[in-house]
Amino acid sequence: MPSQAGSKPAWSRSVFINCPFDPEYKPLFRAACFAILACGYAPRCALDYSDSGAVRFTEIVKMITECGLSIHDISRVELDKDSQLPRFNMPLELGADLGLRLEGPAKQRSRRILILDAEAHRYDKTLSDISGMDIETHGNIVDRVIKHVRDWLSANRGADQQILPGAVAITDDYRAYLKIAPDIIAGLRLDPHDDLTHGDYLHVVECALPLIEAARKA
Amino acid sequence: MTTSKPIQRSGPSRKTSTYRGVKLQATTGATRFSLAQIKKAVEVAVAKNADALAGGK
Repeated sequence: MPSQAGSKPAWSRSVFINCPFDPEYKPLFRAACFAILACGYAPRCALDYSDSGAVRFTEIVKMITECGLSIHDISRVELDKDSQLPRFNMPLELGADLGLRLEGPAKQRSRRILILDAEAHRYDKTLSDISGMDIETHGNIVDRVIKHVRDWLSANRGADQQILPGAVAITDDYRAYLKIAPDIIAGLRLDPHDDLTHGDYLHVVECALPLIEAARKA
Repeated sequence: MTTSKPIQRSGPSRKTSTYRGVKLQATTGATRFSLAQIKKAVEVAVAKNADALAGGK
C-alpha cells in the first residue's frame, strides 16, 4: 500500500536542496541526498511536492523556512538546450534564502547555507555578489559532492550531535548502494529500465543504510 | 450516502534507524511502496550481494 507524506522533520535537521532536476545532474543529486540521510538529516526539495519539481515559488519559500540548512547548486549556467535561454530558478531560490538569512525573522538568521558550483570561482563572473560565502566546487564528481555535503554538515552540527561518518565511508557505502540498486528495483517489481521516484529513493536509502553497514562489516 | 475521507498516512519508516553511530531521520516523502515492500526488497538485494559487499570498513 503506498504511503503518503508524513510529519515534517525538525527544522535543525532539515536540509533544503536547490539544484537542477535534469537527468545529467541526477547522479550528483542522488549522491547529495544519500550523504544527507547518512549524516542523520532529512533532504527536502521541490520533488517532495511534485515529481517534475514544478512547484509554485511561494511553496518553495515556505519549504526553505522549514529547513535550518540549505544547499544551493548554481552550476547550471548553460543555456537550455531547447529554448537556448538561461534558467534563473536556482539563483532566484538562493536569493530568497539569503534574504531570509540577512533580514528574516530571528530564527531564520541562524540559517546555514552551502553553495556548490562545478568550477572554481566561476561565480565571480556569474554571481559575484555571493563572494565571501561558503562556496565549494564539485567538478560534477559524485565523490566531491558527498565530501562537501558531509564536511559542511559536520562543521555546522550542534555540540550535542553525534560525530558524523567520514566522507570516504559514506562514499564507499554509496557505491555499495549503487551495486545493489538494480536488485532493489527488481525486488519492487519494477522493470529494469525503471528508476525509483525521489520519494521511493529516500525511503529505500533510509532502509538500506543500516543493512549496507552491517553487510560491509561481515 | 457517506463519503470516505482520504487517510493521511504517516511515512512508512517510523522506527528510528542507526547508521555508523548516527540516528537517521525518518523519511517523510511520499512513496509508492509500503515499508514492508521496501524492507523486503532491500534485505533480499543485500543478501544477494553479500559477498560483494563484505569486507568494507
